[in-house]
Amino acid sequence: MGTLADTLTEVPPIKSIGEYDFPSRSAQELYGDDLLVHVWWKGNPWFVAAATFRAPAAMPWADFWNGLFVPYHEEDPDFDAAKGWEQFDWFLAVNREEHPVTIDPARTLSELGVTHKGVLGFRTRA
Amino acid sequence: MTIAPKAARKLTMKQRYSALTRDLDWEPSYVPAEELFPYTRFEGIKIHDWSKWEDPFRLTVDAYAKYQAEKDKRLYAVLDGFAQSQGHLSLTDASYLNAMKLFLQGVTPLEYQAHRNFAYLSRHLNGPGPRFASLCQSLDEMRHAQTEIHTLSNYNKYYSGFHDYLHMHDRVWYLSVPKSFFDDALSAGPFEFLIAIGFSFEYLLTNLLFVPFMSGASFNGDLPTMTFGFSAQSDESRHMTLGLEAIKFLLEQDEDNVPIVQHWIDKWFWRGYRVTALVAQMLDYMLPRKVMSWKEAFELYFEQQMLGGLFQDLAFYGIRPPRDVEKAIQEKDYISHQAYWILYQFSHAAAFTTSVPSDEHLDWLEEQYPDTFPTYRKLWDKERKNVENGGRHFVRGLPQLCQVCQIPMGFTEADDPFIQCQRETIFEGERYNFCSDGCKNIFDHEPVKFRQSWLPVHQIYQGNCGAADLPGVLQWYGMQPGDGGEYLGSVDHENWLAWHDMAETTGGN
Amino acid sequence: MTTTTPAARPVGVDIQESESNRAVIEAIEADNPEATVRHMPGMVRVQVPGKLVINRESVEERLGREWETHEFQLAIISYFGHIKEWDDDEIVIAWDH
Repeated sequence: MGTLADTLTEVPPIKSIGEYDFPSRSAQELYGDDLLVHVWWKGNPWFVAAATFRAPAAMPWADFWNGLFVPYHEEDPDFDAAKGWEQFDWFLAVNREEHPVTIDPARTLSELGVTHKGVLGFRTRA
Repeated sequence: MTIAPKAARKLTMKQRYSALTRDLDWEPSYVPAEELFPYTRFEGIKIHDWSKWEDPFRLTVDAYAKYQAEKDKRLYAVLDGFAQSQGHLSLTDASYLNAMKLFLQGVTPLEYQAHRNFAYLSRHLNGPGPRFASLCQSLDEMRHAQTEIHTLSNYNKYYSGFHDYLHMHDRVWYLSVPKSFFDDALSAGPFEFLIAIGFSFEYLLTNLLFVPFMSGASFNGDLPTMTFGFSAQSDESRHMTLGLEAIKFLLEQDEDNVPIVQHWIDKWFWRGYRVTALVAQMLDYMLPRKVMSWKEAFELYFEQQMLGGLFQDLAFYGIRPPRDVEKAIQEKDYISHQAYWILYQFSHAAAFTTSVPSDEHLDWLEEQYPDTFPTYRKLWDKERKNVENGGRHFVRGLPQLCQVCQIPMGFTEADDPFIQCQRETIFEGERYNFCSDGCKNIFDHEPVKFRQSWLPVHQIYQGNCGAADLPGVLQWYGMQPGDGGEYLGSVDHENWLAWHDMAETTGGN
Repeated sequence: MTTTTPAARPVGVDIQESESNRAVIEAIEADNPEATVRHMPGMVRVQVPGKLVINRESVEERLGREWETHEFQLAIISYFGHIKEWDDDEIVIAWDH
C-alpha cells in the first residue's frame, strides 16, 4: 500500500524545560484487538464528516457491513442498503490519493488493508 | 457620569507611569537574574534590553482601578435593569440564546485560563513594563470571566443549556475545540504564549469574536451581553496593544527572533482561525436578526485591517502574512455553512439547539453568499423533506476528528465544495488525521505535543467518558433533557411561546 | 496584497455609542477632516487615512467639562493601527512603517 512508511523523517525538536516525550492518547494498543476505522462517503455532504467506528481488526467485512456500516448510513434517505456494498467503489484514502480496495465479504478488515485510524473511502459507482 | 473632576496634578502621565511602574523595579543582588526569571531563555528568544518595552497606555495602578470600577458600575446597572424588567422576554427569539450558551461554555472558561497565564507572565517576565501590563490583563481576564458569568446567570433562571458550563468545558466534544486551543497556549513558553494569545488571538482575531457578535447582541435585544461584550472589549484594546508591543519588541531585540516569531504567527493564526469557525456559524446562523455576515466581518476585521494594515507594518521586520492565510480567505465563502452543518447534525449531543433556517434566512444567506450558498442550500432542501417525513437528521455515530483543531472533519478541499479535506501524517508508526494543510503543518512541527491530544471520539471508544452509549455519555457530560437537539418543540421554544401568549393576555392592564 | 504607505493606510477606532461618547466622536470628526464614520448597532466606527488624533481640548469643549485622556478607555471597543502617543493632551493612532 505504501501508506505505512514514516512520512515524518525528521522531527523538529520541541523547546521545553526538561524531557518532553509523552505517548499518544489514541494509540492502537489502547483498543486491544480493535481498530479505529474512519469511513468516508466521499462526495456525499449529507454526512458532514467521515464516521469513526471501533471494530475488531479480525472482523469479517460482511459483519462490518451489516453491523456497523448499514445502521449508520441508513440515516441518509438516499442510501439503499439492499443494493449492497457493490454499489460503491472502495479505496483507502491517503491525503488526496485513492488506493483501490477490492471487497471480499469473507476477508477481515485488516486483510482488506484497513489500519488503525486509516480512512476507508467509498463513492457511488459511476 | 460619576467621575469627579480631576484635581490639579503635579506629574504628567508619562512621569506618573515612570514613577509608579518602571521605578518600582530593581536589579536583583541576592540571586542572578537567570534564577529570578528562569523561563525566559529556553524558547530561544533573545532579549538584550527589557527597558525598551513600550506601554503606550501609560497605565498606572490608580488609574487602572478607577476606570475598571467605573466600567463595572455601568455594566451592573444594565444587568439590574434588565433582570428587573424581565428583559429576557424582549429578545428577538429564544433561539438567539444558543449563541450565548456556546459563548458561556466555550469562551468564558478561556477568560479564566487567560487570567492564570497572564498572572504567571506578570511574575516571570524580566521587565517591569510587560510585567505590569500582564498584571492588568490578568485582572481584566478575571473580570471578564466574572462579568460573563453574572450576565448570563440571569438567563440560567429561564433557559436550558446554561448550567454546568465548566463541567462541560472539560468534557464535551465541541468544547474540546476551544479548550485544546487554549491548553496548547498554556503549555507553551511565555513568549510563545504572548504571540499565541496576546498577538495572534487578541490583535488578529478577537475583533471577529467580539465586535460584530456584540453588535449582534444589541440588535437582538440582549443589552446585558452587548454591555459586557463592549466592556470587556474596552480592555481588549489594551490587550491588543500588549500583543502588538510584544511582537514589535521581540522583532526589534534580535533578528534571530524573527524566524521563531514567524513560525508562531503561522501556527497561531491557523489555530485561532479554526476556533473562529464557531463564531462564523454564530453570526450567519444563530442570530435571528443579522448584523453582518461572517464573510463581511472577515473582510473588514481581518483582510482590511490586518492584511491591509498591520502586516504591511510588520513587513519592515521581515515578517510576512501567516502561512495558510490564503486558505482562510478562500474559506470565508463557505466556512460558516460547513460549521453550522456540523453542529446541526450533532446537536442531539450538545447543550444548544439548532434548526433548519427559515426561508427568509436562507434567502439572506444566498444574498450574502451568491457564489457558494446555492450549493449548500440543496442540503437544506433535502433536509426539509426529511423533516416533513419525520426524520430530522441527527448522525447516528461519531465523527472523524482532526488531531490538531479537534473539529469534526467537515471542511472541504479548496476546489470542491463537497469533498472533505483528508490529510494525514505517520509518526513513529501511528497515523494521525487532519482537516487541513494548516493543521497538518502544525502537527508536523510538534508531533510529540499533538499526539497527546485528548480527542473526545477516541476517548469515548476507550471507555473514558462514562459509558459506551449516547445517553450514558450525555450524562457524563452533565447534560439534561432539553439542553440539546432540535429547537422547534424544545423546552426553551415551548416556554418562549407560552410566556409570549401570557404576555399578550395580561399585557393590557 | 498591494503595498501602501503608512500615510495612506487607514487607521481607526470602534467606539461605544452613548451620550457621553458623542462628544468624543464629534471631536474626532472635527480634528480629522478625512474621517469617515460608520454606525453599527451599539457602536460607531471611525476611520481615517494614515493618522487619527483625539485632542483633550476638543473633547472638553464639546463635553462642557474636564476630560482626561484616560477616560477614552471607557469609550473604546477596538482599534486598528498602532497607538503612537497617549499623553495628557492627545491620543494618536498611526502605523509605524
